[in-house]
Amino acid sequence: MNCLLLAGVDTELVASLALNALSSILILALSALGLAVIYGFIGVINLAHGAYFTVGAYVVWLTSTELGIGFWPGFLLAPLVVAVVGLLTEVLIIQHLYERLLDTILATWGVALAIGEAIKLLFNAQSKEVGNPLPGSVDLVVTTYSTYRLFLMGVAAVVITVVFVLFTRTDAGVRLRAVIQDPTQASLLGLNETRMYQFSFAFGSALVGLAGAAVAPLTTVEPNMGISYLVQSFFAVILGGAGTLIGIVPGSVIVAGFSNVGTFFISPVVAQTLVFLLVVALIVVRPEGLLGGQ
Amino acid sequence: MGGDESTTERAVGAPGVASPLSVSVAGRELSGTTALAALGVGFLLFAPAILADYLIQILTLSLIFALFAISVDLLWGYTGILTFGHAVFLGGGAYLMGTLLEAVGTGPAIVYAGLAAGTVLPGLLGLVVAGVLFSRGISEDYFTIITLALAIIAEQIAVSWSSVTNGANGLLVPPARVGIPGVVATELTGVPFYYLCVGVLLAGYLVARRIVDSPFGRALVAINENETKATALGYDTEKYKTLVFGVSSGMAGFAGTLYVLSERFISPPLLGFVQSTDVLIWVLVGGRGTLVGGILGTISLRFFENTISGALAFSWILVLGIVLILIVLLFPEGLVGVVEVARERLRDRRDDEATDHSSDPDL
Repeated sequence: MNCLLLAGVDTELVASLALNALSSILILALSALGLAVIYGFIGVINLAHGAYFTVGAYVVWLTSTELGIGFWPGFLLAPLVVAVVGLLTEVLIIQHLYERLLDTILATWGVALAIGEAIKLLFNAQSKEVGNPLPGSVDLVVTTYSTYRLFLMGVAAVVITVVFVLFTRTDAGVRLRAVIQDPTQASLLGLNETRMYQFSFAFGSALVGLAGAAVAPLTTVEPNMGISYLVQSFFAVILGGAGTLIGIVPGSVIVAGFSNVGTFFISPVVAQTLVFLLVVALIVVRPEGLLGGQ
Repeated sequence: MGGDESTTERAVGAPGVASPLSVSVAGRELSGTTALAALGVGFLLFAPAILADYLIQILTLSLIFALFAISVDLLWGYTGILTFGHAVFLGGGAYLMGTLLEAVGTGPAIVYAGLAAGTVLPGLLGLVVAGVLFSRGISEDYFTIITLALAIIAEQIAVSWSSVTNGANGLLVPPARVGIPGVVATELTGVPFYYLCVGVLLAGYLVARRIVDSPFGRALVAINENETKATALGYDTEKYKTLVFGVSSGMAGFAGTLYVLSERFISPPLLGFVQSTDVLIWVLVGGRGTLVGGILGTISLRFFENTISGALAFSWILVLGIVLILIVLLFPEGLVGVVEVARERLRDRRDDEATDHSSDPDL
């Protein structure tokens, strides 16, 4: 009786909790998708992924406060800026390490350190605020919910869908995956391996840059904000199964969903510890990932 | 690897024969190495007579971190296990010792208990972590990412568990006393503590060298070179990897207990990912898979950090990041490797002049 009563009263709470969880799942999926392209396809363990996320957030902070041209130009600019950063990383560093992929861990960690520190030098170490570009909320019958978060979920869902379609249904996407799966065969067919790698790297970086820009108004922007997204993105990719793009969906649901809901009911640290243990247990049981068949 | 060295040594002189830059460098050219080692130990012994007190303090902590670096080199340099979370064990040992000193007492018996617990418990934790992960044949990159996450989580736990750790403010630890329990007890600070650390580091180095030169160590090197082949040769690679991870974690924990005795203060970053990756840079700069390289890298980088970083404001980490990229790209063998390459080039040239015909250096 009591339970039923509680459930009735808390519909609004449950709805907004679910929406909160969904928005963090979609943000993580966006970032994880960028990583899945770089890690799952090329095999580069890009520890600068979190730093790219941070750069994306700083771009919108710069345009909306320092440059005074508002949030939206930054929102469009962030993926481009981060794509350039990613492309530079690939051309200057990663390109020379395809023979020894494990060393990319160290080199990209160096990139992450350098980016984080450069941000501190340029804009100091204090955390920044980015104003909400869409204040107000929408009445969803069961609950009212933040307009910006709804917008965010829409953008993320659309981008993720478009990327899936691009990679699985279009000619260019299929060719790209062909190169990645069998570089020698592909180069015999006249496909340019180097170009494809550079494109993938820039593209994956753009996605995480967009994720960073999208999150900026919801959190505090600071030089180390990307590190937790780095780990969560890797977990989402590994859990789903590296090499399968679609795997990031269940991966993100587990990682972001559990930590979001857990943070509400228990403390953030306990929730994250539990998610960590759960993820490690799942990886140990199924190292090939939830959707990584064979 | 020990057997290889003598053949490489002779092969170097022969023209046209590529001399593979062996990972294990110490032990080759015994006379030169012995002289250098004597110089190094001599410097450490006479340092208090030459260096100012604050430099001795920096050096003391560097020696402790060098022991930590050796523990990482055993894993990474020799076995090829790259961990981004080894500070969890260093910090674990430190928090164990710190909590004992703060909550129980500061007498010799407590200190010895802390040294033992701070070594054994992180060692056991390492055995469990590595045992679980390796038993399922987790790939190298997954292992690295999981250890990175472990370090991030550990630091967060240390920050939020403030009843024990005093949170982000850190834990102040009262000075410890050593001696014979119930008979003599004295505080150990300054130069005497420095000499204790010199002794401990030398002992740690010798233990690690003994491990590396043993059949167990040769199995580790075989795993590093080609794990599939090592398995085919009959090595139980999981068992070896788990064991060396446990030993290395215990060593890191022991370094952590010394850290507390030296600094009397612990804060959460000690067990986080920044500390975990700093040690990788020390080992990488010095030269992985050499043991000595880790010591040299730690002492020199920490020396620069403490002298130069004042002038560079807080861009030391920027320097580290760029150094890390450059070393991975240009000198994957580190300082010791650079010296070794230079020495072999020189020797090649001498040989060429002596035999009076040119051959490709092949390096």
